[in-house]
Amino acid sequence: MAPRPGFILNVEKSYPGTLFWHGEGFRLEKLPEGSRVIYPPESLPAIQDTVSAIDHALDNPRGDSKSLQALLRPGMRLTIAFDDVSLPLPQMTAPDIRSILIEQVLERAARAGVEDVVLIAALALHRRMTTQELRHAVGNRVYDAFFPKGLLLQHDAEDPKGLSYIGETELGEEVEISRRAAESDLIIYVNINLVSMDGGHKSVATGLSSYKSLRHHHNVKTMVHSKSFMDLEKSELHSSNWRMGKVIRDAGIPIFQIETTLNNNTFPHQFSFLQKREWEWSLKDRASFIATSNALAKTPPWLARNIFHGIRSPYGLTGVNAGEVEAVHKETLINVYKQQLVHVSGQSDILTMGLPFVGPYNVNSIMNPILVYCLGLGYFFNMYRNKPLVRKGGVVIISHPTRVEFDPVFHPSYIDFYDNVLSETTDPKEIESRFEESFATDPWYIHLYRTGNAYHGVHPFYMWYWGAHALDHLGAVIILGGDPKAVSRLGFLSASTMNDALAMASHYVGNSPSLTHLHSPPLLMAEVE
Amino acid sequence: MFKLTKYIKLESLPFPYGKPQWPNTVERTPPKYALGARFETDWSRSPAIRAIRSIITDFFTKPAINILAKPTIMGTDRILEVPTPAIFAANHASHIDTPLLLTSLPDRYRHKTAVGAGADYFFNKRYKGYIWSFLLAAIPIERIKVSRRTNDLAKKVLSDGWSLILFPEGGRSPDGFAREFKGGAAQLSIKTQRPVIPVYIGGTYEIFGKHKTLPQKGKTVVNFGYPISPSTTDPRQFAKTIEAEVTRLADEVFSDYWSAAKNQGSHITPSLRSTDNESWIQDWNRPRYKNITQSREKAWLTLPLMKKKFE
Repeated sequence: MAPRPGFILNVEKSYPGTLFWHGEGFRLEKLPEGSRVIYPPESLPAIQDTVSAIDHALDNPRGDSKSLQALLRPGMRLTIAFDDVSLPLPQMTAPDIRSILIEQVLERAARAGVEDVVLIAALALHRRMTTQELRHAVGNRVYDAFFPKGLLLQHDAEDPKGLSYIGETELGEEVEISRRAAESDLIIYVNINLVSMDGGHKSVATGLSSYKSLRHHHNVKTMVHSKSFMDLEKSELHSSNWRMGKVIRDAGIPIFQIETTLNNNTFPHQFSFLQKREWEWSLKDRASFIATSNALAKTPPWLARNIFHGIRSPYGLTGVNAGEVEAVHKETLINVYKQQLVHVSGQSDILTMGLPFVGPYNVNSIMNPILVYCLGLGYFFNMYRNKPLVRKGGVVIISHPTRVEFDPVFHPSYIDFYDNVLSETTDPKEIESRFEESFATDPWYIHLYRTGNAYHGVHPFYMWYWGAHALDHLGAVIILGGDPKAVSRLGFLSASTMNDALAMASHYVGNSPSLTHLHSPPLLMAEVE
Repeated sequence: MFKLTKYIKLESLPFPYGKPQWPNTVERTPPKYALGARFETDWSRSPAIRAIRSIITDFFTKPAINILAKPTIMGTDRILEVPTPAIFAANHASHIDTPLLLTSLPDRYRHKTAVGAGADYFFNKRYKGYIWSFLLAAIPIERIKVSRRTNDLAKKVLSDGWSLILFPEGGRSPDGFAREFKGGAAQLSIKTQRPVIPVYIGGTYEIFGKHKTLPQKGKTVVNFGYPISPSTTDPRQFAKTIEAEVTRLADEVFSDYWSAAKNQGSHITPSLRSTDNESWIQDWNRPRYKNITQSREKAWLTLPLMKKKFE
């Protein structure tokens, strides 16, 4: 049976309830009659012969690029950059699509006699990946061949000798990227496009850049004007990256972009109920939901977290395109939208969403309150084209436990941001002007970023800017089932039941509001008419 | 394997203690049971026998191999998407290659894979035929000549959805070096258009090579390569491609993935074959899968061997 497109349910009396993610657990909520629940399209069929599809993409490049084989020659310097652990979510079952792609690229490089090859994880200001994560991403064979020889690197955006200044855009945005990449005869970028924000010029211009370069688009002004940053044409974030991409291209640094898209098959069969519409749950689905949610309710959060982060997604490849960056990205977006886009007519007063245990920045780690904010108001809120799912001045209700818990190894600067910055103000502009520079240039955070596995000192600020557009747009944010202390620190309202949350929302949107629920997982993107 | 018949030759004993000589002038009666390539093995692929064999493979053979050969299994990710059935073509240095490879196969192949075994060696006695076809789903393969029967049987096995393990060298290596890959597996692949999965097996010669009477514990490696579809109609040419891939997989084990890829790209992959049989230096330098557990052989077990050596 062909996969069904997205679906919008109008809630009526005969309806079983709606599943909400609630961190490392679930909630089954009854929404008021007349509410809309947006279900994502079903998973598209995966390409069966991945290697042949990759071969075809490498031999038939998009845009004005030559085929990969024609670009490779003996004696050249080749840099292969790839997306870091923030993609895909959760991590894929082995083999990761990056490892298959990198191997196919290396096979061609070996045939062409290219000796000088370096692999770089394009971290930007993200944390360095752990050995296991790196091994998972590139595969055992590539890891064992390159890592011991120091040829598998992680981008260091704070290494003064490792960066190269390329120039600046017509708007004065400085472009600085990895020296190794800048001095290469060819950069091959291996990307995974989980959402429409990923890929394109953002891959190199952000992934391999430095704070000096990133601050031109990772700021409040850009984010408020990115409506949304998931929509290439209306995203100021992308416009800036595209300008930077052109500077890199004009500097004569050739990039061969390889972009992949995945289907919606996010969870293994044990969790198949997560990917089904509630009224279609079989006996097995209901049994596994009851067993899982009851067991999780009695499991300490750290253990539940470990269990969930152990999940590997059986994602399937829906498309692979290679060649010139912009032409490739155009094809990629078509594939992403084919899998994720749902047409929705009109905005509503309230938008509800359940947040899962994982976001791009807490893989194998804790989702702290700042990341809850970023995932809800940054990512989920922005999963739209045209206009937001909620009207200006509307309310967003987020379901998540929002515990005051931090990972001191991965997120050290988040702790200080929560204690010292959010206690003073939650206004993104004020935060940016008063605090950003001191965190960005703090030598201890830089040391932890460069030598440990810590996110850069400035990263929590970016998380806060990520939600700036939503903060600007919304009347109120209510967190359902969250720790009241953490919720109030974030500047939001806290509710313990859905009815309470709706009653609180009525202060902002009246007594008979319209409500839309963004049903996730898997991911969906709303095209709002 | 310890063989009593090696030491007590019944044929050499005088009649009536030994076998009677058949007069040349009298026509020989045909054997009562079909042996060799004519041995019937269909029964060994029936669902009931397959189920029993699965239990034996998973609960007896696999643990035994894990203890004896401690395999490191590599490259299974390369065969995840290969449509079944497929032909596994590996180098061959020891009797334990077959159980090692069988137990190393991913689940979807393991219980539906037959093994091509030398008709003249494994099927020359009725009891041997039954044992090997029951335990390993072995099918008889003519090693010396290409016979229609062998070909038809292999094709039938594949068309029934069974994968096939073949050792294209045609027998175990006498010295640890590989020998030229013959065209049987290649021809079968061309005729049936099924992909060949090259496999390198390392370390088994040291454990139970042709010269050994008893196996010695050690470590082994099984490295699966990407499937190769027959791109030519010439079995010899295709056999060379298979051999080159197995050689590269070995290089991957002894160096690393990238060095092996570069060596293949530059056509300098170290050969698995011996170029000079007389040279001890070559044997000395032969790449061996490391981490062999060095354990002293039990004296009472080595005695018959030593005795034979000094005779």
